[in-house]
Amino acid sequence: MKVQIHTKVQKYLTRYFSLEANDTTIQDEVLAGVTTFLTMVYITVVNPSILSETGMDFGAVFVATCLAAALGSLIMGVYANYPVALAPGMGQNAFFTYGIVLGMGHTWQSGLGAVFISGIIFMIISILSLREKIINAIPKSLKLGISAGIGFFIILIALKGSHIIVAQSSTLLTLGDLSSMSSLFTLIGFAFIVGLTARGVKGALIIGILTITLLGWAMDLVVFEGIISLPPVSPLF
Amino acid sequence: MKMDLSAALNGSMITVILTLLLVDIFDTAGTLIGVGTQANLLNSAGKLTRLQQALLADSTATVAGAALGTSSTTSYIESAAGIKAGGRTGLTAVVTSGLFILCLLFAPLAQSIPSFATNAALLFVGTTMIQSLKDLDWTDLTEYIPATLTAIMMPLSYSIADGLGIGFMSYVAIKIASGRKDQCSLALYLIAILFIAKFVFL
Repeated sequence: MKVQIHTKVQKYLTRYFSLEANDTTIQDEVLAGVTTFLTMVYITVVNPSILSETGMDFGAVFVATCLAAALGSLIMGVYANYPVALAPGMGQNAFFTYGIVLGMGHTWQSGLGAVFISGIIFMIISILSLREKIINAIPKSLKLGISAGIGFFIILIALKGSHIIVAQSSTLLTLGDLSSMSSLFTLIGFAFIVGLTARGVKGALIIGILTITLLGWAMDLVVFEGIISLPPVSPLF
Repeated sequence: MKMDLSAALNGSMITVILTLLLVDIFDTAGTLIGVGTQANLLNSAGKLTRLQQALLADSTATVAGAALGTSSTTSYIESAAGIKAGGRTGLTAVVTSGLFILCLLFAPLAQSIPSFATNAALLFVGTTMIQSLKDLDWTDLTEYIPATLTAIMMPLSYSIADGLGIGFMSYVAIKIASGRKDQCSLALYLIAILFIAKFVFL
């Protein structure tokens, strides 16, 4: 009986998300979803710490961040069938905090109102297919450039985050201390993931992330904060 | 809800709303095209299938996010990591969504993942995305110069939208300068003008 239910769910998921037509399986998709989550989960800490500088409550923004990410990703998956996850954006939270609130002196409440209105206008533009026309008007060469540009952007984010590349006043950027733990562990993890992928190992990214995490915990480089905690109350809404 | 809509409708907020709108539109466009190319979501004509649904999902998330109490919610370039791991459909995003709900309870565990672990993964994903440049027409400099400018300006300006803006403006300018302005659509001219206005006035 249990097995039957299991196959029913499998069949339903396979049909709903057209897994076969997209040449993928439930296992592959789950692995991918976990991988994306592991690379994005930092936002649940970083977003509250940036936005709380405006006077918003850290715990409340933490809850809002998780819920907005869950809701956005769910709609993207179920409605658009895209393997794309959403969360509060990194540039946008900085603009919100340092631009709108601290820079121009608006309250965070009216800032949220502005975000809401921009979202509504955005929805209208999308319904009118205006944005679709914009995007489809982009020449093929620029699309290829965008894909590579996002690659370069991700590389810079990773190099900056691991202090492999650091700021320098006369040359703007320079090589950081490669023997620092954060640089070293990033490079070891990178080589490990490249190696696994080259050998054709499935789930190379997850195996890489988890191995490096365990290694960091074992070597006491990371403060292990526990496993479970109740979400903070007093949400903003 | 703590947001203040009446204060946001004040005239001084117009530039703020316009900036939010432009950044969100072009950030999302860039992200969807970038990761969509990687996930084979482009059809034979080089266009993204189900694009309107994806855009509606993205804008709905921003509206819901503001009501919940956070700045603009948007499509994440980190999705490229899941696509690299084999994710091709919305089921990937649904799994990620479920984990964000679990994250409410298991916050300490999720937050114990060190940044060097995710940076290692991102470094790998980023380097593999550079592959897309191999499909450029390297014999036509009016095509490959704007494309390479777009690519390099994204990290340098630390913004997908700004990198895209430089790409649009240089594409149109180079086509005009080379006497090939018929290769630009009306929409392209309008977008280039929009970006010139953004860089000058916002």
